[in-house]
Amino acid sequence: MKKDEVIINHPFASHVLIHDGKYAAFGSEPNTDFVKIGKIESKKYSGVFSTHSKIDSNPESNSLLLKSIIDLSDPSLVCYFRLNSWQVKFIQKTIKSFNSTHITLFSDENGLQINFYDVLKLMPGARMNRSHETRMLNHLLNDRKVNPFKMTFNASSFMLLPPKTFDVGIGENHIGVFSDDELEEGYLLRDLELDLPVIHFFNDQLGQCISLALSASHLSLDPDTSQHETPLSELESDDL
Amino acid sequence: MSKTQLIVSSDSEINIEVACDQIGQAWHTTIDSLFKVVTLIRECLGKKGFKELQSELDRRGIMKASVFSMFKTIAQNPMIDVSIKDRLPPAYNALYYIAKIDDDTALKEVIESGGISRDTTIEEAKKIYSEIMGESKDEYESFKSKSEIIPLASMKVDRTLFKQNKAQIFSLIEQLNSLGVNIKINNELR
Repeated sequence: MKKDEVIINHPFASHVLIHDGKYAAFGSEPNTDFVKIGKIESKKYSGVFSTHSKIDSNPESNSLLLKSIIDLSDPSLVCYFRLNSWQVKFIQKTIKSFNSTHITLFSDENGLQINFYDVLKLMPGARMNRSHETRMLNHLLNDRKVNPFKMTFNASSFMLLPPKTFDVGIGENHIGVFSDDELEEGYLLRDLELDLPVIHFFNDQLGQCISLALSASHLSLDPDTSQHETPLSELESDDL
Repeated sequence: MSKTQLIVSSDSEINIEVACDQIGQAWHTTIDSLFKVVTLIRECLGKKGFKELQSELDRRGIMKASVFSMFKTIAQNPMIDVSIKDRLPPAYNALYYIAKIDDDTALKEVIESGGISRDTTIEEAKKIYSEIMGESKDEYESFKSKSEIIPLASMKVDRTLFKQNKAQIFSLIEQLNSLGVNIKINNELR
């Protein structure tokens, strides 16, 4: 890829850094949690470009910035796994059809899983309304066990990934590294570290996985209302 | 070199016993060497600097990045273990396709049934990969996305009639909005 093509081919980017035959394209709002790293043909260019113009920068600072991005893409990993192209496509289709704002990739004793949800619908304020629907879709991607982790991504940033097979590294630095070794391209997605008010467990009697959304009143206690938190020790045995 | 010469006797006939021993030994050395590389890369998996190692091996001309990537795939699959090396082809490109099968049950079955052996060629390995992973692919691809938003209708109104019934039309639009019908109103009409 040539320098001009790098800038044109990344319409999602607010800025593109080019240095030493490599480039990093930084996602613009609302995808500032997304960076693409790749290679270009020539090593002679060095600069930071916005959509239309070159920004004042020098090769030393470009080199430092690129090094820090490359370091971010090469962290110690909590775990790694492969996402096949058809799984990436499936996730992207589901994000669209389910109107998900966020996805959470996680692993437990059942294997690698993904949750799709609209985070606004899981906010306690919204959930106080009884007619409000709280939906979350869970899908088992692979039953091969990997080290436990949980990472939440902006769904619209995940949509920027090409539908290819990726080696995914879950970094200890809270960055998901999606590598396409064939094209020598990498995509970094930052973990938004959202905690869902949902618990999952396997019920032996039913032989099924159960997901429970915690009661909204337990999530947000407003000191200005009559809500109060009762310590477990103060509860009568009948209450338990 | 001298060992290789031993397999052909002085009268230009192959010494079958020696040839079998030598070729067999070399064959084992190949798979052992492959597993040695796999074990070394497996040791580095998940550690900081893994990508740098890949670039550095490439830069020093030791191993091309694409070959390293194939070894990485082999190393990432825990089913490709030295304990079953005698049942696996001694070629990294064939092993690569086998390692890409991430359905452990299916992979175990095909290894145990002899579907994969030391004689498996790269073409056969590709075929096995396509057959096993094709099922998973078909399952995913049969999923059809359904948009949550259903287009209902597009509306047109005569300008004069609109002016006459403006209040009533907006009241009806409000009612439809309350039923969850999202109506985009032309700015000119506002």
